[in-house]
Amino acid sequence: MFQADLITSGDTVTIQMSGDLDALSAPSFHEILQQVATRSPKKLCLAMHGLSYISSAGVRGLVFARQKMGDDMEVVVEGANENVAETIRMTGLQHAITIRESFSA
Amino acid sequence: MDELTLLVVEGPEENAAAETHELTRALAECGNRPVLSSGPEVLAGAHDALEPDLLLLHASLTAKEVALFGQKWQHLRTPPGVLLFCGPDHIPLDAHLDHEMDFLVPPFTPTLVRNRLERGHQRRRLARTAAELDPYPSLSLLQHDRDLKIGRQIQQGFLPPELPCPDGWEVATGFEPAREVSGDFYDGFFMAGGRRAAFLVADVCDKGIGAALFMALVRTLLRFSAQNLWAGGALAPFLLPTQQVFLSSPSIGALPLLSTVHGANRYLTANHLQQAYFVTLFFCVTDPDSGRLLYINAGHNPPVLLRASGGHRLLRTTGPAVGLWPDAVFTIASVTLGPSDTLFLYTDGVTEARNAERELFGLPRLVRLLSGMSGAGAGDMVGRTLAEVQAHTGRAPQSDDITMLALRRSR
Repeated sequence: MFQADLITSGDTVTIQMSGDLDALSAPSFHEILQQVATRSPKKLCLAMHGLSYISSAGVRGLVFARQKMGDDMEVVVEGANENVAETIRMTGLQHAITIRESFSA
Repeated sequence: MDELTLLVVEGPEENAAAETHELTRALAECGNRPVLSSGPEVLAGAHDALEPDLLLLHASLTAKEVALFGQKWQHLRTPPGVLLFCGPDHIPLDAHLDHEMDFLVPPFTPTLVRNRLERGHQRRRLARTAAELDPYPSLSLLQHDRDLKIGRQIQQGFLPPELPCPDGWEVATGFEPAREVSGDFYDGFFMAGGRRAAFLVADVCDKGIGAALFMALVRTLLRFSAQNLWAGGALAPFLLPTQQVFLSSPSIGALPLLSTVHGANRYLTANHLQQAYFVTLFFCVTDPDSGRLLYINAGHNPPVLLRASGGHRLLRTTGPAVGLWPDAVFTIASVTLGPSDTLFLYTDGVTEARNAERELFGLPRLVRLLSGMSGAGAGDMVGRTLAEVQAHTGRAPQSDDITMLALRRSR
């Protein structure tokens, strides 16, 4: 069961994600990203400490995030487990998204 | 099964009465006591107080009458199912074929009739469950089913009927589609007048009809480019990026391979970036005589190269997924398959197959499994891997396509 909570702190928006981000849950992740885009933050943190699995549909969500937020905004993935980080890296998305192992606001 | 409340409606056709009688007799033998009626009686409201489980309508009734009768009891918590029936001449059914109706045709033996009633009843209970979950069931379920069907047809239509198999090689594939359509595909074709054989396995991100359409586009782009760039090699340099890295000096097949992947990436990022679809792929060109294989791994799960002497090597990514960045750099790498070496390509439907406890099959397990059968033929390897993955999944639903392609140099 995918869950995403939105936390705004100054110019940074953090999405705390948990569960599985797959084809079933990707549409709700897209909706949340739309909400974030309207706030025009300078930084988007995707806190993946609780995320157990990401499928290619989920990675597509990250591509959406990168596109929606524009080039000036930093997108950071934090706390992803080994499998999730490997799936993101394998796609080559680490060139456009910063992947950090631990969370720092 | 409990006795069902059945309403049998006779049609206006000459033989309808006899055919209706035959059906009601079979229904009675199954322990049911159907209510018999005619079209005008139903329209006049003669049975409005009835709460039927199933309407059995003669196929000589018009499509409009059938639709009206079907709607008449939609206010019930569990509306009745609808089954059309006819005589040995099936022609009256033709008028209803476009409306996705269920049919019951002679012979009306008690066993067959009972079976159809039970299946209809089960389906109706499922429909009720879906209706309770979804406020607009009929529309969304129909659209979903239709999309599934279209997407599946697109996908299946683009898989090659057979793959090239050079002398001294074995080639085997496995494709097990998930219920929800996704965008896996494999392909293979000869190039350079049969001197090279190209193979690829690809996976379009996400699922649904959009992914299937994208898969059709990508497959066409890749195959067309690869085969035509070879014939018209003069075009190839124009499609290459300005900064290109070769891990070794370019050789036969290198330019078409690189130009094809780069050209597809350029086309997709120029025209389809907004849809945020991308495709991961492993694309290789093999020299059947020497066993040398040039490849690009664009963001794809690493194929497993199994050495006949034991040991393995993972052919990891040499570039990002295709369709993400216009200026992406794809690098060609090469490897040589010796006699009895095997290259095993697959999509994430294999390594990400999950059991009821949500545990992944995983790459380490796949490598262990393949390493244990390095002497096996390509077909055997694919078959045993599929069986293992399915055993792991057990009763959990298959969430993604399982696609495999094994290349074995047998001598």
